[in-house]
Amino acid sequence: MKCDSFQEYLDGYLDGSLSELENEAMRAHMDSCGACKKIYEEQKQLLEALNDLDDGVHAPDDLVANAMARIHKERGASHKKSWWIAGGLAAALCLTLGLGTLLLGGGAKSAAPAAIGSAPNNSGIQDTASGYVDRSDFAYMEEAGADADNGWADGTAADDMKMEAAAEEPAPEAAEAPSAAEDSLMTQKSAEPSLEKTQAALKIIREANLTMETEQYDDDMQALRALVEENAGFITSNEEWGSGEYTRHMILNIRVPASSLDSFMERAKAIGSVISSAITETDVTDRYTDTDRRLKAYQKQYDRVLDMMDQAQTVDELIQIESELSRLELNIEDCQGALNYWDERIQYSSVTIYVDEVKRAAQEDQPLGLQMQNALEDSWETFTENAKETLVNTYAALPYIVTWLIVLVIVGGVVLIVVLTRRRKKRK
Amino acid sequence: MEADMLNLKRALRGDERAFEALISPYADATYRLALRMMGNEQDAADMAQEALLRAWRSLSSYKGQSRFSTWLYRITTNVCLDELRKRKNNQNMSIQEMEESGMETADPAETPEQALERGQLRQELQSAIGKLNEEQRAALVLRDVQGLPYEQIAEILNLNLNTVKSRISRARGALRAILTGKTELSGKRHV
Repeated sequence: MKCDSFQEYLDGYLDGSLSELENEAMRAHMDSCGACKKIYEEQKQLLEALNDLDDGVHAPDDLVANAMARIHKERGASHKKSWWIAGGLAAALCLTLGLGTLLLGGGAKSAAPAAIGSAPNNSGIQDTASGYVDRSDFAYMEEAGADADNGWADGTAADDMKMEAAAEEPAPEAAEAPSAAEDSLMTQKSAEPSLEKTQAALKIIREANLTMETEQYDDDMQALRALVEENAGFITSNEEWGSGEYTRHMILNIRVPASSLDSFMERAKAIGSVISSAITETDVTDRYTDTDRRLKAYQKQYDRVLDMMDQAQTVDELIQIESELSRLELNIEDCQGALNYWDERIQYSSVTIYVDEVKRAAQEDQPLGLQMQNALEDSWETFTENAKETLVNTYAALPYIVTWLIVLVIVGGVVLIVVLTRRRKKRK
Repeated sequence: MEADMLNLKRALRGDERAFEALISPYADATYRLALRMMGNEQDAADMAQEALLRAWRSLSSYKGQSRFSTWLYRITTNVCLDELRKRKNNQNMSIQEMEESGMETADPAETPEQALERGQLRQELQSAIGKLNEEQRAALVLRDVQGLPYEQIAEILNLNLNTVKSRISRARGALRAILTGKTELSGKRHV
């Protein structure tokens, strides 16, 4: 090997992406060429230094908080602007639609969400503490809601895990929305189902999510936790926000034994009122058996190389064997790690539960009269809220209104004077 | 991650909390990338914030074909590259700026002398990185500092794999030339 070839291959060598033969050639060249060896060592040190460069470097604590604050401000600003445009529209529309749904009846509660700005449901409540979108904000929905949804549906991640949660709210156009809960069971089968696969040998990862509303937040949360314990599951994380006068919300991440997933979900859905739920299954059998086969192959190789140690004659051979053993050990570890990772997720299913406290839960089987009454009360409430906000905004805009009035008066006065003066001149 | 997908859906509807949950795991990585690209803490914090803001604004354009981390890295890289090109005149970090920025965090296990030496090495490295042109700098940082695989870097920088490899190769060579021109790396290395 010549020195310029060495330099060409140096990066590959450092990255560990060369073949054994090429590595051999590189080592041999370094043994005989001090200059290239020096270059190699410098480069290696440089890479190590670069690798360590970020050790101990952390983002400032307030980075995310500041970014979120700016985001919130931005949305607040565009909120106000579009409110002036959409506010009147929204109020008029909601009254019309509210009346319309009352007249139409049947599934009125589900159709009500279509009336923007009227009855609240889980995402409709103006809850500044959690930053949920106010559904009366037309402009926002146009920007990011509808289109994003379609875009998202088209481009679901092509990764191995395919998940689709059932629609989080009923389709706005549905005059007759189906009952709020929709189970979608999606099984992703491997591309070529192998005839050898028996039911028992299948490696399936099951996961679920559940979104629910409740008026008895504390009771239901307790019931959920008890249910998790009963099923020998455990909570991996929870995040809660909202307190005092704001409604509370919780994201609960739990693991339950895969065997109890179905019964767990059944009983969990009985707590609170379900907005959406889904169970997904991912078949990793092919990848699993593939990795398992590789693991066994590596282990066999390892044993063979180990045997070779006894027959090694020179120090060089020993060193080669050692390095080969290390390489195999790494591969074995990788395979083992992957298998363990899958095993864990196969045995314990992940469930993500969203719990939203509401003042009035999604009504499924209430009598029509009560639904109508609730719907009217809710839209009246929202209406008064909006009216209050208009009042406040108008009041806040007072300085600008006054300024403009003054300007108008001055301009008007000047124009008036000019006109009058001209008339006088004419008469003269 | 499943939770990420649900957070993403919620964030697309304007749920700020969900967005915060989505990006928080990447706060460190975003900041580090910005720090290596910009060379000082203040700019890094500004660029990192700008990147997160841009991520929020363009969230609807994330279709999920690549990993979320890749997408976020790309936004961060572009934000930094844009800023650097704007400041073309001040491409070289002055030593004074770096001293003022005080990039070092204290490690209690080190003696003051060790910390000082480690700090000097880092400053030299960062200064040398700052002398690379922006594209080389981005490729090198993503590979050798962040440790990302080549394929992901290709996605982030929107280049093909071979271009990425050759760019990194040249960047490493250039970096070595800058550094060995100044001092002997080996002399300062701690074990």
